[in-house]
Amino acid sequence: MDREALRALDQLLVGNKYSDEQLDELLPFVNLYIDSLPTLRSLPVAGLSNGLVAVAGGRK
Amino acid sequence: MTPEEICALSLVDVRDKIASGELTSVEVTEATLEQAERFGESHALFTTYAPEMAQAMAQAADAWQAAGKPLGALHGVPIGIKDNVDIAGLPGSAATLVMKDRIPEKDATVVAKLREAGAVFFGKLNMHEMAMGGTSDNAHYGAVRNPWDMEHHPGGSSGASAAAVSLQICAAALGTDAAGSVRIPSMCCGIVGLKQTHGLVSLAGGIPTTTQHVDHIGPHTRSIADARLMLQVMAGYDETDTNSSPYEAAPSPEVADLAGLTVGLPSAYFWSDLDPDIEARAREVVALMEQAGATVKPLSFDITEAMVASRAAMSAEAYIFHEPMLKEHPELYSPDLRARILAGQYVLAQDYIRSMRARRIVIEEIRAAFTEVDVMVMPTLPIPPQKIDDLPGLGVAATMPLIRNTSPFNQTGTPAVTIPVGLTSAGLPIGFQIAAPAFQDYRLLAIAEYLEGQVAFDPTPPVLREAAVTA
Repeated sequence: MDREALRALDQLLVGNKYSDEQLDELLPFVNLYIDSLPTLRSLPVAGLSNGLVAVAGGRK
Repeated sequence: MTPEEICALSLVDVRDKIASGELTSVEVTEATLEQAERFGESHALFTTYAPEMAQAMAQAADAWQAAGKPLGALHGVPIGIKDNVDIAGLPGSAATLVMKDRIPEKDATVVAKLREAGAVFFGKLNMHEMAMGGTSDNAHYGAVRNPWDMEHHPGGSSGASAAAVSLQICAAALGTDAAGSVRIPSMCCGIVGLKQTHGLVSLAGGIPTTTQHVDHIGPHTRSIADARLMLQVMAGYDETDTNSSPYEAAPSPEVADLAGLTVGLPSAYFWSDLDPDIEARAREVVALMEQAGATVKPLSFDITEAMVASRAAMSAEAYIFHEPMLKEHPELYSPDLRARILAGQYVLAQDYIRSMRARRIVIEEIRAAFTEVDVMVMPTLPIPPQKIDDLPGLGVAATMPLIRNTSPFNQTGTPAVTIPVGLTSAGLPIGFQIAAPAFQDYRLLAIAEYLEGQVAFDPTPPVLREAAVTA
């Protein structure tokens, strides 16, 4: 993802209207997320429950 | 005893010597303060240094004892506290600027338990900003230095907690661990670090890293016996903490050998891409376990993809916690941390849910493995700590390799402990991590204590050995 793609994503989802400098600061970290998506979305999780800890003691 | 001799005592020994009247709390606390003043600035250990508070607490402890009143399990003993765990009346900012004026009125539950047990507090210890990193290279309070080599980082995020214990300022300190932040600096500083079962120790009064579902407040010590004592004092149900467990860890007798113990070696994820010195020493320790009667069983499960996937949820959770402060005072965050947190606002709901379910994969894989083995073992970190000047510009790039072997047990909530087992060829400590099923914390410690005796690693860093020779 480049700066303009992030600007478009931000406009669509959040609307922060960040400056070029702010977008450049965010880009490496947003790209960490973007780069993880192929792995994240390939996992067979449809039938699983979330791995939340409610009260410890059982199968968390 | 000289101040140096007092500082070198274990937690159990210093507690016993105060209780027997051989030492006073004032003597022990003065030794702590002397050591803190010797290393505090050079190693960037404190966000708040509070010698007057320590002296007052020590005097009160001695007066209490002189009056013949019953003594707590840590009566008169100085304990270090990480800056993201609240002590009433002292600033608590998680080593940030955005919370630098925050002075809690109330102790964290775990601090209240230490206080009730008679502990003395001497300040707040430096850490990675907001506990979101593994190097403790803090832009606001200085880069914490590794006691074994000041050019290297001490690990993080509880870097100064581990360094203070290593430098014998105190025999025990509190850290927090949401991805390895007690165990990582404990390995880097050559000491013991425990992340107990999630929910055993209250999180109330701790500033969360991202989400309390993976966070823990755990002890740094120089021995397993001291970690056990700390856990005994710290553990307990807390109705003010929604994560608190109504269950207790099962008691465990001492271990005379490892006969009958099945030790899992999860090779696909935890034993890959290791520093050669670390791998060689860790395999020697596994061989020691076999010689002591353990059966070693290879495990083939691979959680690499699930661990990558689990990051998205952490990122979104961090954004939600920080959003109000970031909107009001973005300039008070270091640029690296600010950008990392802000990136979490773009995580889609579907990816958050996938990420939380990826965590379920990790939990189930490790739960299944524990039906085949009693404990799992691996190097605590795949790599030794880097030089501070060589750290990559993006803090997260330095942190990701550090948390690889520790963070799965934050996802599962199961206990894990690191013990020091040797040194790299560069003279930096190597840690060996042992992980056990939930609530088997004391059995885990018993096994670790046996191994600690076999390995016989001296946790004294060179700077203290040189001083002892000179004296």
